[in-house]
Amino acid sequence: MPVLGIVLAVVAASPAPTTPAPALPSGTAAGKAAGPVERAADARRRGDLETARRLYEEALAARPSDARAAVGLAETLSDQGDPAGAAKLLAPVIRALPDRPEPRRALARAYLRGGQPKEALAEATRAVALDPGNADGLVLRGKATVATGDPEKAMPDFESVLAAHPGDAGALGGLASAYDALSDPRADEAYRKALAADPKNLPLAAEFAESLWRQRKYAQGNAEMEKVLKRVPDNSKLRVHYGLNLGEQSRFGDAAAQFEEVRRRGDSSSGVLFYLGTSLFEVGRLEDATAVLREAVAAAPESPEAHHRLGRLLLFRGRAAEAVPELERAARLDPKSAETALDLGRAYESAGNAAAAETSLRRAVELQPDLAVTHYALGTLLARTGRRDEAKQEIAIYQDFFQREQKRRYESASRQAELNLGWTELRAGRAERALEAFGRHPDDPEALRGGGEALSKLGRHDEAVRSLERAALLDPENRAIAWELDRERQRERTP
Amino acid sequence: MRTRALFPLLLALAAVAALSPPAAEKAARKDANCPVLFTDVAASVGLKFQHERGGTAQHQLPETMGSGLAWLDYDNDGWMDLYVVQSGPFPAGSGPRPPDRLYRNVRGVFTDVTEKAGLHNAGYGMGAIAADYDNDGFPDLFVTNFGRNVLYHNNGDGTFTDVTDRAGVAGSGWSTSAAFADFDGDGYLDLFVVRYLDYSVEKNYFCGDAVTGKREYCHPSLYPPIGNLLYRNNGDGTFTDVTESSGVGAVLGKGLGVVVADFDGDGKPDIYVACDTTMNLLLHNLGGMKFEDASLISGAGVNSAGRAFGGMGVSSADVDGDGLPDLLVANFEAEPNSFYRNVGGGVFEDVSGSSGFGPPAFNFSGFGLNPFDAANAGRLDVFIANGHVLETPRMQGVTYAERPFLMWNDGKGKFTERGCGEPFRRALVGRGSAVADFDNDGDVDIAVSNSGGPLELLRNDGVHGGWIGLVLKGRRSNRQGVGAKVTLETELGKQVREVKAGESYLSSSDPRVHFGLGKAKEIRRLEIRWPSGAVQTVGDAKPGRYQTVEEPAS
Repeated sequence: MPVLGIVLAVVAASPAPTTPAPALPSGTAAGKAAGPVERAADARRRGDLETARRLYEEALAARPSDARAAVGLAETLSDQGDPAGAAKLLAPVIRALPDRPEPRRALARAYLRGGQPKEALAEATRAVALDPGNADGLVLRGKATVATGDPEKAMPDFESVLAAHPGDAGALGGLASAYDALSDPRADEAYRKALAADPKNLPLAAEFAESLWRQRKYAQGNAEMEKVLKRVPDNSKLRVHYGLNLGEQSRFGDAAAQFEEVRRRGDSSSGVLFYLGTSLFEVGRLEDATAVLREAVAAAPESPEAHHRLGRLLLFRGRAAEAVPELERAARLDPKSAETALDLGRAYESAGNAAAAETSLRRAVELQPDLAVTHYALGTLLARTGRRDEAKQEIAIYQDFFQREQKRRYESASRQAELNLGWTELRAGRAERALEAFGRHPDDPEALRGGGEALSKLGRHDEAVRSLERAALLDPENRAIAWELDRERQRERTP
Repeated sequence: MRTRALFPLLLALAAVAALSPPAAEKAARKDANCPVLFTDVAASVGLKFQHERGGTAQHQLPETMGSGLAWLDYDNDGWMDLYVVQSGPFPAGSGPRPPDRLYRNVRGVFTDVTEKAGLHNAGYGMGAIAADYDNDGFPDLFVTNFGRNVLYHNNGDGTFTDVTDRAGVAGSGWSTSAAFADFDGDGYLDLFVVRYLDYSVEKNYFCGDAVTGKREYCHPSLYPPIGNLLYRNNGDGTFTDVTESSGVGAVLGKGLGVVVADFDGDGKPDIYVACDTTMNLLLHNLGGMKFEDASLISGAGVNSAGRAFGGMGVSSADVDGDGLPDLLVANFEAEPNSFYRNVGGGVFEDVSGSSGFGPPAFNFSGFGLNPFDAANAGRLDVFIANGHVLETPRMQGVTYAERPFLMWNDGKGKFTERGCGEPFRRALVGRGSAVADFDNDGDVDIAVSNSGGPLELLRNDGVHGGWIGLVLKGRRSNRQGVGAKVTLETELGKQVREVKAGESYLSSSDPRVHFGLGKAKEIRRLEIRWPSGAVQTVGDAKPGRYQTVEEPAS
């Protein structure tokens, strides 16, 4: 689950989860440090992570063997985006108290936040074995199971917690994630319930936004993300992440606004300037884009990407003489980039230096012979310099690629359009027409899945099962298909 | 009721009065550096045409594409008349359709003569071109549709006859632009018809938001291209479909615009098709009604980065003053417009960026495109009609209705975008555009067809340089002189024009040859190279008028 990992990492400054801090048994050193540890736990619940950390550290300084303080500090470090630090802190605690579930749960959480789902699952499983009725342990195990790519296996953990505690925010959130991973339409409702139970859970809110984006519910996803950013306006990583998503939605103006905001709040790193300049270019603010990319280059003079992007923009604007030095610098910094060599060749030609252009274009071909556009650039250069026979050879390579690419795009786009038509008909209750649209692609797993749903709606459950079985055969990794197949089999057995 | 109705009107008038001086000043400031100004006079000269695109909830793709127009002097009275294509409900026949219109120009004022002329196009209209295909001295009309195209023969008495079936040029599928040219040099105009996509009502996929069910128009990449058509004129009022035998049928693209010119200077007209999302096509005329695909080798098939754009409108003209016909293409949003400079031998260089021609178009979708000498300065500027295809474009900063461009040329092919006059500040959904000197005052005006909007006639006003106009009459060549290359030399330099029948987007312009002279005092040479190969020097060329030049009989 890399996306979940990103979201969890970038919302590191969010408040602590609602799960209570672990209570280690009496007889440990905890009792004597109860004051600061409890105050620390309280601060963590309030979201004041700096204070929590300071108090836990003070408690540990006073009593290095205080396990409660160590676990609390580890949880706080995880919250602050330092899961590795948390894991390091917990290792000796677990060695000293191997039969206690609390440090194992904390370690499982740290692994989850650190993007190590397998390790998280192992620790959470051990914690559940030590304390089978603990809701926190079950939720962690469920989340780790989702993160390892087995969302349907995670369901029983969440469901058992919710059976005992219907409003458990962690279990609701976990269930939402599982539904989301299965592309189950109940995901949205589950996220809303989870967020109602735990409105301060920013990682979950960010995860909900991601889920909505994946479903192409861009406006709703953006609204969720705006809510999160209102709470953590200085989280530049999250804002950049949002900006990049806006760019993917072709909302380059909004993307530029997010990158501008990141810059206004003090992050003028080359990466931010690079994205800002690119967004400005995409909305046609070419002067501004040029200025910002110049800043990006100044901020990271050794970045080949920044020089390349600036050079390419200058070339686009017809300022070949200015583009050439930028692209030369990019080529020096990244001599193995065929794209840079290609653009440098184009810039040389525009600047009237045909010999240098040919050298650079031939270098690009050498670096990446399958970069078809290089053959085009070289071919047209040769044609313009009167070497028509050589030109024809290069052009033929490009033409072959171009035609294949056009065919591939057409087939892919028209297939997707027909599937969209099928889903729309299905949602509108016209299962027969949906079946017709899906039926035109008998070897496409998504079409077979849609056909299965349509057949199910028409009460033709045995055919639906066969359609879904074939879809599962063609796409065995697709959990959503497997999930629907299970449900359809149930329906088939239940008259 | 009267008082209540009047009150908002008074408020509105007060608001206008309060705003007028600064607004007028602002407009004047914007136009301060303009050598000439354009004013939309369509309604005041009798051109009250409203395009109906027939938008449906199904969002059928053709609804976004129409329409075009054609200038022609159908009654040979020396004043340019105007044919405007209507689209109507889609598909054709699904509801009442307002007619295409033919407007007769009587000394600058237009009268609707559609009924009298017997013009009844019933198809879902796309474009129109005018040319004298049968050399009888009267320009005929070819109208492209989604479905059956129509050829109207001009009877010479103010009426037209639908001769499509006899001529054999009905075609099929989705035709867009077209061009007449004498491809085989036999003195008769052949016909090239551009077609767009293999589309039908039944093939209308669902495009848009699958979650909310809100439909949008589909992207052309979802549909395969459909081949263009080439008809050879048999000289007896009939045509033969030579699409396959000529090699034209083997070269596919999603064509929208076309221009014909002799790009490599071999005396034979070549074809250039602007295509949407596929590479533009350059069909090199080998002679004998055979063509070869020179799209990529020419350097004008895709941009310098190897990318195919959404090409819509196209024209060719010598905009950099080197005597060779360059190519100009209006493209879709997020793409610069293209300027392919002819470097000789049928090879082009993409100078869209360095010329300044491309970048202003980034947030616009260009359709109609016409090179013309806006101020009679002796150089070709370019008009571009803009307008998106989606009511709600996805790209930010882009709108459905868009203002047009006037690209001013410095005479060496360097362009600056600057609108001059109110029409350049008004956003409409521009489609076909065609230029003509409709009021015969020696400057070139512009007619624009707007999707779902009013027809515009942008009258060119102001102080212009000198000018000279020619009406060509072929004898060995086709009667209209299509394909003739006219070279004018003054003490300020040389200008070249090639007579065309079909350019821009779905349109054709004034067939007369027009040169702005700037401050030149002396015409040193005026030479016509006719399609027949005859070279004629016009000895008595006099500025400030249109004069007829007849091709020598031998």
